[in-house]
Amino acid sequence: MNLITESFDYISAQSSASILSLFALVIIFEIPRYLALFLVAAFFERPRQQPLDVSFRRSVAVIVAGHNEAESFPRCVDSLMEQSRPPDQIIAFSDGSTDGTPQVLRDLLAKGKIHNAMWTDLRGGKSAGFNICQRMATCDLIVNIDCDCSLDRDAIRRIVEPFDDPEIGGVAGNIQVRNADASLIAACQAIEYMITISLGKQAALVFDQVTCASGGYSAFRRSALEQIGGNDAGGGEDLDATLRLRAYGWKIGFRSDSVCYTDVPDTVAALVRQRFRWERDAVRLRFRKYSYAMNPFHPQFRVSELAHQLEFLIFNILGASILPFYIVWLFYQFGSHAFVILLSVKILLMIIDFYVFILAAMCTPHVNSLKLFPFILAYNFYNGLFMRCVRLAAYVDEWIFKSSYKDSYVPQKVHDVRGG
Amino acid sequence: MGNNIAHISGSPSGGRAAEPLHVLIVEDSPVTQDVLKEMLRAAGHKVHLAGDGRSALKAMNAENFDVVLIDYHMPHMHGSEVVREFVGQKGEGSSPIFGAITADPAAILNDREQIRFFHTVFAKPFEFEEVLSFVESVRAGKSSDAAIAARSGAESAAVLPLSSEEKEAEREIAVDATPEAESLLDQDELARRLNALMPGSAFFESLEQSDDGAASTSSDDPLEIIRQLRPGAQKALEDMLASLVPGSENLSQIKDVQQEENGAAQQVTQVEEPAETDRPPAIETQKDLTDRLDALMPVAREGSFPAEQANAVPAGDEGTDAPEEDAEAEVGPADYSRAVLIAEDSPVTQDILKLLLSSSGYEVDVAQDGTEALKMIKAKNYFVALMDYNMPGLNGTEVIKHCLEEISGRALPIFAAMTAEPSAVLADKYGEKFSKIFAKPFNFDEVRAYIEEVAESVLGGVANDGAAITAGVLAPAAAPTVNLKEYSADVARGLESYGVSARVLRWPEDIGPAGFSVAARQYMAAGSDFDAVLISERATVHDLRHLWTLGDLHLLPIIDETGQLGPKADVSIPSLPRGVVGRLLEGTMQEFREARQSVHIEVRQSKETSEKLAASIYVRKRVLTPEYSAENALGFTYDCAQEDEEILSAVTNLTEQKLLQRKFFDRFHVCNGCQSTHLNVREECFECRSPNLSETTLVHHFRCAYQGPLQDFQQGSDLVCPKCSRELRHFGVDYDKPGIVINCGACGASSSDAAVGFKCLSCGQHTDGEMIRTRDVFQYELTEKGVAFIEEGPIVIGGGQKQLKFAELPLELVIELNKSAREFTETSRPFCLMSIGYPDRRALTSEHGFRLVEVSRSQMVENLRNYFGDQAITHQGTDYDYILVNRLAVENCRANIETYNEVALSGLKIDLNPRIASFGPEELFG
Ligand SMILES: [Zn+2]
Ligand SMILES: [Zn+2]
Ligand SMILES: [Zn+2]
Repeated sequence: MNLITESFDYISAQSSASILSLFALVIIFEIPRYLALFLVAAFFERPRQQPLDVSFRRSVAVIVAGHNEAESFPRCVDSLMEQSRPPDQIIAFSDGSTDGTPQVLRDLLAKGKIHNAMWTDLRGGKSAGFNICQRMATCDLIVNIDCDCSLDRDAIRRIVEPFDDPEIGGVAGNIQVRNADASLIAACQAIEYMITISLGKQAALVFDQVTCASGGYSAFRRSALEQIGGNDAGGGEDLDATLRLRAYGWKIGFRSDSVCYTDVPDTVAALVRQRFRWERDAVRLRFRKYSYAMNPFHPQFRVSELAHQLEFLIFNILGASILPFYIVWLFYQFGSHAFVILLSVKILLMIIDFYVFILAAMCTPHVNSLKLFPFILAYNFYNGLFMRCVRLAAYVDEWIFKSSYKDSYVPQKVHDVRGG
Repeated sequence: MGNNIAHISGSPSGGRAAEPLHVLIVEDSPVTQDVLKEMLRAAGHKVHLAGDGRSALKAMNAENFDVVLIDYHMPHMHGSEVVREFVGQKGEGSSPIFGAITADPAAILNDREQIRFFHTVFAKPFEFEEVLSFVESVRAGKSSDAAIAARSGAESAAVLPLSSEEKEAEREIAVDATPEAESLLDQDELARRLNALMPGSAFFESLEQSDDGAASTSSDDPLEIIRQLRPGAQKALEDMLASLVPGSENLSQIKDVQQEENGAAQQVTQVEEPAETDRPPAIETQKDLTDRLDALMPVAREGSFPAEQANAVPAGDEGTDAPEEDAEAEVGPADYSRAVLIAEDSPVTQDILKLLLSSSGYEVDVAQDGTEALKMIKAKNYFVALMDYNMPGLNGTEVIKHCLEEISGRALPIFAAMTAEPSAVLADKYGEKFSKIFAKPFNFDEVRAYIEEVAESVLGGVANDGAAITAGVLAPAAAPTVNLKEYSADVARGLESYGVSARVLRWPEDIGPAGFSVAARQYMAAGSDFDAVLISERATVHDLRHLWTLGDLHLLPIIDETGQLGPKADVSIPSLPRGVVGRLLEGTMQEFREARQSVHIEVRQSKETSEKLAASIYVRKRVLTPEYSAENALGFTYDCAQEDEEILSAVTNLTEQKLLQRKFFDRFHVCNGCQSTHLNVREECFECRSPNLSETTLVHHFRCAYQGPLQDFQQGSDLVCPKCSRELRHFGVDYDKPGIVINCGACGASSSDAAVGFKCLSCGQHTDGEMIRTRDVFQYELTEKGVAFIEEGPIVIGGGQKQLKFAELPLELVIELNKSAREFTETSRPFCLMSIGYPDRRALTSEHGFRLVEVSRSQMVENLRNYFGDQAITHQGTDYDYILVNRLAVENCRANIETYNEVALSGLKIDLNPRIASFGPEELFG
């Protein structure tokens, strides 16, 4: 207690400039992002829900892809058949599955539950699979869904509504966590998904900054996909495609009321592996493939693209990278008082989290957020420390070892040829 | 008992204008009422109905009737009581003419008190024509001013205490029809004359026998003579007498005879001596005799001509009490004059004779062997018995011998023999008892002609033909027609070209699409067999269906010279090397012959398609095998010359009965529209069901993730990515081929897989692979039970549940049953017949040996007899044993069947597993 009292005495003795520097991390990396953006998002008018017939104005194809998902396919297809706006075409793709998935698809095909089935004997990666399916689709819109996902009854109806706007090339769905009960780490991810997707993308939408129509669940205009030549090789194909669509001038929408549930990793190891992949792919795509977006002299340079690049650079990369320096600086500067300072930072962040969570819950219809409430404390450590460390490690890894090129998620043969 | 009295047979009303009669029908059966009423109305009479005696009396008091027909047994009041009361009130003079209707004529006839009121008695079931004739005769009498008419018939004439005027009147009627002087003829005289008329005639065989019998003295009794005749003979006699004997006789004598008959004592007579032939024919009033004989006719028609009643009886023994009516009397044919017995062990000959004789209107029964024939002759009156001389059990003459020894006092059938060795028959001591011998191969037409001849002569015109028949009695049959002989030779030459001598039924000469040729029928009817069926021109199984209709022809091997029958033939000659044909044919025929002989006779004779098929499978190595066949819409065909649809329905049946077991053969896809299996199987587009599919390899360009069909990449000999325009240089390095894609040429859809669809070649219908129906086809093999069924007959299937057939019961048991039945009717003393079957007998026999099983069986029956004591009468048969237990109700029997079972098996070394079924009076006689 001594330490805390002393520390408080010490802090209160600082000048306001010093205090500001003390909480710089919070002030710079948390408050603007959450407080400002989310506040806007929460009170900005959300897209209006349309009558059902609007969703039928354009035909919809759904591509269900999976690797060794023999059990998931029938379940996913059934949830598609249950839609208030059922798809006009269902294309199932098994990417080199070895667990009898082709037989499952054959049966689904025979029963007439799906319209096309494709499978390969060799794994070719998600992009290649999506590409061939995309060409089989004959509909105006293509909804892309992982076969381990399941949809709300209204999901497809809502996700296709924004396409009434001819400028919209793709719409991201609101992916939420189905297995929040599985573990603490899963519950934290559930909160994370609520905040970053329901709230974050909603906020991004306001500023036309939606950058990732997730591969788990999103919809695209077929003509737009054809224009960008489908997916490119390598991981992070969803981000890749979205960035390319943006590059071609398409607007990307988001529907918080088009909810899709997916299972998240329920162990730290699995989560770390997943995030390493995501973060590496993001770095690779943003700062290698699409680095031109930050070059004002590049012909394709646009401010809107620069904005989300900077946002990512500042809040994700810098936010993560600065953490160790900040902590070292705290201890160097304040010695033992650093603990107390960190603690107070944490308390501050927790208050922010609490507030943000409420905003996110407001932005996420149809999802029971209350059960996640007790996990906010854990989420604070998860997001503030753990994820930052993971990200940092991932960035370092990518920066130094270019690991995204060896990702097991993409077959080695693809990595081998893709080069830089 | 000869009982009821019919009419005067002269034509009704003799051309005079018909005057309607008032007829009262007193009858409690509405059906009989209605039919009689309708019939008599149609004949122009006024008919009134009364349901019982009281209303009849009321009606008779209110109105004058010419004729009253009364049911003798009515509730409340007997027919005779009605009449007595009426006559008592009004006096006989003004009575109508009464006729009695009864199912039990003996009851009336035995009661003089009653009978005297009735002018005639109709025994149920009577023919309505008799009634009509009776009424007509009354009308005739009336219109010629006769007081009372139709005092015809033996009994009534004998009974009625007629006044002389009445007698006079009656004669007048008779004279009216045939106006001749009457004369009396005593019975001895009649008998002598009859014998003189027809010396040696088969009709008089029994009469002749009794003539010589020590105990018999009644052979001179004309009524006896007449009664011993078969109905046909009676008719013949009637006609004969009508033409020969003028005058009349004292009718009362006939009644006396009737009385004697009723008091008959059983007697066995055995005679071999010929009849007297030296008596001169007498002259009688033709009409009178005609009338009397006519009166007998209904007896014959109803067939109630029981052995006991007809027994020889000392003449003049009037005082004998009326005997109880033995129920055995009821075992008689419906129409004796048409009943023919065939005793023959070849099913084919049986069938064809039965077929042809039945189609000529005869009632044909078939006996498998001599023993059965004897049993059947004992149980039923036959008019002709056509017997194979060589039969298992008793041979033909032994049957006759037994008949002569064991049946007395009633007519025996005319015996005709069928034999391949006439000389053997003639050499036999009893051979001469055959009226006719047909030497095999005989011409069936001869048999038919002979039977028709006998029938005709029996039914009329015997005077001339009798001698001719008699003459033929001992003579061997005339040689078969040249045709048949030639035919037999032809048949035997069928396989000559293969160096094999065998009698073959040839397609299309002998069996054609329409059936069998006349010659083949005659040949088979003559008792000749075939060894095989020879197909020398294209034939379908449908064409050969007739093989399954006649006897056991379906068990003959089918030799196919055309090769068209494929697996349906047993030997397909074109597929054989020339050198082995003869040997193979002989071997096959031998195998079939042996197998055929192992088939139980009842199975060989079965008319059940499934049983025929089972037998066919048995002789054909016990397996029914399907083979692929493009010619058959089913896609397969069974190696059995029956239509496959028939086979399929039959095998289901047999498999259910566990006679066959099945083994999977193949699964056929069947058109939903027309059931054809002739389908084009194709890979189709899932979208549009077009088979216009092309399969191409998928190419995956790693660099840009483009994945598409090979043709997207092909530029000349190079592979160039359509997305990134890079050249694909190195398989496995910058691209690979991860799978295939199927493109539809019709709708452009692509997929990794194709659907399967079926297009019917027969009707054009398309069916998706998921929707197509399938049919599993099996090979069938006879089970052990199936083999047992074939070899041992239907007992294997039926077990205890088999319906009890009287014909199967031994005579002694039938007699006992009848006694019990009468007791039951009269005193309600219950009885119960138990039949004991042994479904496991075959298995037991093979396990423990025949002797032990049979001994155990005997012991078991003995156990039961001891248990039931005096009340039980047991009988051991071949397949079943029987126990008749008096004073035991069938319900009690069923309730205690477990106990009986225990008792039966106590002390036995082996478990016979008997199946006891019980039958009460209702089941047996109801
Ligand atoms: Zn068809
Ligand atoms: Zn390429
Ligand atoms: Zn097609």
